[in-house]
Amino acid sequence: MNPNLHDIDLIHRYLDRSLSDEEKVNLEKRLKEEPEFNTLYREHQMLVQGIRYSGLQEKLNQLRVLESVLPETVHVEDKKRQIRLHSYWKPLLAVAASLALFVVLFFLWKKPVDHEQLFAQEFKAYPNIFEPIVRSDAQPINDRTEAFAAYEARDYQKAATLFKKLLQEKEEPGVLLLLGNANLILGNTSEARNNFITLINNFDEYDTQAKWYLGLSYLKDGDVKSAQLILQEVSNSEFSYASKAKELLKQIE
Amino acid sequence: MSDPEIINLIRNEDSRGLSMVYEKFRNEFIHWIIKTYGTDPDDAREFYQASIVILYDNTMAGKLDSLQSSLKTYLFGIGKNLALQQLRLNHRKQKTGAEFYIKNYVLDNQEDKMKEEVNLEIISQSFSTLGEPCHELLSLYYYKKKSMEEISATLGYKNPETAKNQKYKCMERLRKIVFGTLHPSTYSTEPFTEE
Repeated sequence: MNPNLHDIDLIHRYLDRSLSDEEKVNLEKRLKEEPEFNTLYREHQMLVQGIRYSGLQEKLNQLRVLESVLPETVHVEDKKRQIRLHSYWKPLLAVAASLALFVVLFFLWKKPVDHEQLFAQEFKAYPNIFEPIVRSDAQPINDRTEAFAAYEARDYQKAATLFKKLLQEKEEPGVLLLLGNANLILGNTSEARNNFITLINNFDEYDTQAKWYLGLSYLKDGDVKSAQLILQEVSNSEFSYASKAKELLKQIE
Repeated sequence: MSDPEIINLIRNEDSRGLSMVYEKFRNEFIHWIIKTYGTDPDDAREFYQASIVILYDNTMAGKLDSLQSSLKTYLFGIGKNLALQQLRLNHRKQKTGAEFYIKNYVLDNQEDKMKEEVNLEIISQSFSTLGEPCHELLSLYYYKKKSMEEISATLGYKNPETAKNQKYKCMERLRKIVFGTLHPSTYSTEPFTEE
């Protein structure tokens, strides 16, 4: 089929909802009467749907990256546990759990909590949800895109250098959060704390996240008292970090 | 931050908006969907992600510009529709990811969804192979719902009419890639009927 340009133009304008009422009636009549024209229309309709789906798929992938660093919801864990536990296993597992708890408590009593290890267990780098690197030749290459790309590629040294440059031009919450994370990974804990404190003081967004990472930075340095104070605040928030902070507080104690 | 401010962030493609919404309602939504519909926790998370994607699309289409309810009510409304759709389709025992709900949303009210679903994957893959500026242009127009004036300014065309002509050419290029490889029997050619 070799569609003529006029038909294609009509279909585009129909899909864009820019036909006059009369043109619309004529087109819909043709769709019913002319199978070839109908096929051409269906093809274009599918292409539009496919383009939209492709974009939404990309958005979904970005959300999945974000989800991967968020703490599990408590209820979800309970539910999973519920599914796994069959009634006849319950008494046996209860005994095993008590024994395991006894062993764990014994070792915890004998051995002080390793804060560095707790940090490693809890820390997950916050993802770049601010300026995802997408496949596009149209995306310019500059310090900004390079900084986010380096962060995504886990080149935290390069990312930190470039983020600092960006902050000299303009203070931004997303950049502060990611720079703080990069600094934490690089072991620059006091610099990371400065980033998180600036974020908490100067912006309304990402307050809970900044406090969570601030708490972790204190934990990494073994400043348990400060870590507890901050995590206590996080545990009172409405965000999903609250349950994670409560669990961590129990472990620190 | 107020609902209109968050909506504004999303519309301006400031990714803080969507991530803020995602984290803010995540726990409550997942607990609610598990409790109300007896959904598996993993499925509940898929419902949530699909709902957020649909919320994003509706925001970009301007449907939330004069929102009467709260953002939370709107989001939970989307979740409820997805859950009911799932119950109607009786797929409860079958694992369905967020992609399934997003496809259904894109193919709104169309019959023969199974066939179209396959096509969406093929078209999406073909679209990703389309070179620039076509990929960007079609994405801005059909996905981000930008006007020809905005596209013309973003991509540096002389005027909106030039951008529009380029859009036709790009669609033809995509049409040839997709339907040059896709056998007609794999897509429906049933006569079109207006609802």
